[in-house]
Amino acid sequence: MDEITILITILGMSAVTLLFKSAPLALLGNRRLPRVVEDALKHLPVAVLSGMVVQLIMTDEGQLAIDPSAVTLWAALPTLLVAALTRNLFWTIGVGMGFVAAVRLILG
Amino acid sequence: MSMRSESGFAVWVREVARGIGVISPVLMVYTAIGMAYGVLAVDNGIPVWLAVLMSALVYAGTAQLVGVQMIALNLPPVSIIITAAVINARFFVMASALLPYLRRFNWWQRTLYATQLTDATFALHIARLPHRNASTTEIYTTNIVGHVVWVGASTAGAIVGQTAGNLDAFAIDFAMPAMFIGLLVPLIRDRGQLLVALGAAAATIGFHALGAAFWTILLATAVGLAIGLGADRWTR
Repeated sequence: MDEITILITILGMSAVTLLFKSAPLALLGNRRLPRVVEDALKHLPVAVLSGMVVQLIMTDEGQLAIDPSAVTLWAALPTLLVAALTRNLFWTIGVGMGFVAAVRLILG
Repeated sequence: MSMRSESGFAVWVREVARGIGVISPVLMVYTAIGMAYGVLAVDNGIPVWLAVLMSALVYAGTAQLVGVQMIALNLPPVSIIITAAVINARFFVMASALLPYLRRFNWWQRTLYATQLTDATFALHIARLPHRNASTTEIYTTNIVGHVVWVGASTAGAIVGQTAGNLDAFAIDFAMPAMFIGLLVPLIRDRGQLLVALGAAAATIGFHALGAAFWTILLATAVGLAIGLGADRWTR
């Protein structure tokens, strides 16, 4: 792909992304959303983050790929444990990545 | 007069420090993933300046990683843009959820906020803003520092990546899952929310198995929200 085509692609990706990011905040302003929507959105952080964790560790290139030999699948367990015990983002990321790095180092 | 301006400055410094404190754990992940993205981009034949431009403007890890691979495959720009739109449509829902907590901002402040919205800043702010009155300085510092580190790491990765690079080196491929687990778990405070998390997780596997591909997160999130509404009714 030549530079101009890549540039156009990136500008297009930016336009759609910025549209989604900014539309509610720029357009809705101080209007209130319907009650049921506000109630549903209270659950958004848990729903979307949970889905993304599963997507990250159980899929590859948009396809389901649950690989029992993947360190990154099993590493979710100690990471969840540390997150539940400490509720601290630093510790969770540190222990999670440390676990994966350590297992890879040991198993070669 | 000078006392007053000094204390104003001291307050500003404190709020900036708070803003950095809020985003600091995420910066490790942004550095790791940003560099990995930069490496991947130049590996796939994207010029450094365009790789950096994408980080500055798109500022969304998953869409960028998928995007550079689709560019490398010479897929039509329209299909790449549509894929980015599908992957990033979740930001529309996230921005809507933040709306009640950003009412004191005027429209351009909200728009500026929106351009720097990511999964991580959404999760950090949705956990923080309802419970404490965070200052405007703190909120923007969190956003700006995250954005700058992301672009900086992408630039570094793109420059370094011209020599060598492996996405799985150390544990970079687990940086994002670890961050999302760390952001998710503290938000689960009752049985209803646990149900939402498990339901969305199961739905993600289910929709992927059905071949929903990049639509999966939107669909699974909808299932999670429905479960949440149901749990609210049940326990009320």
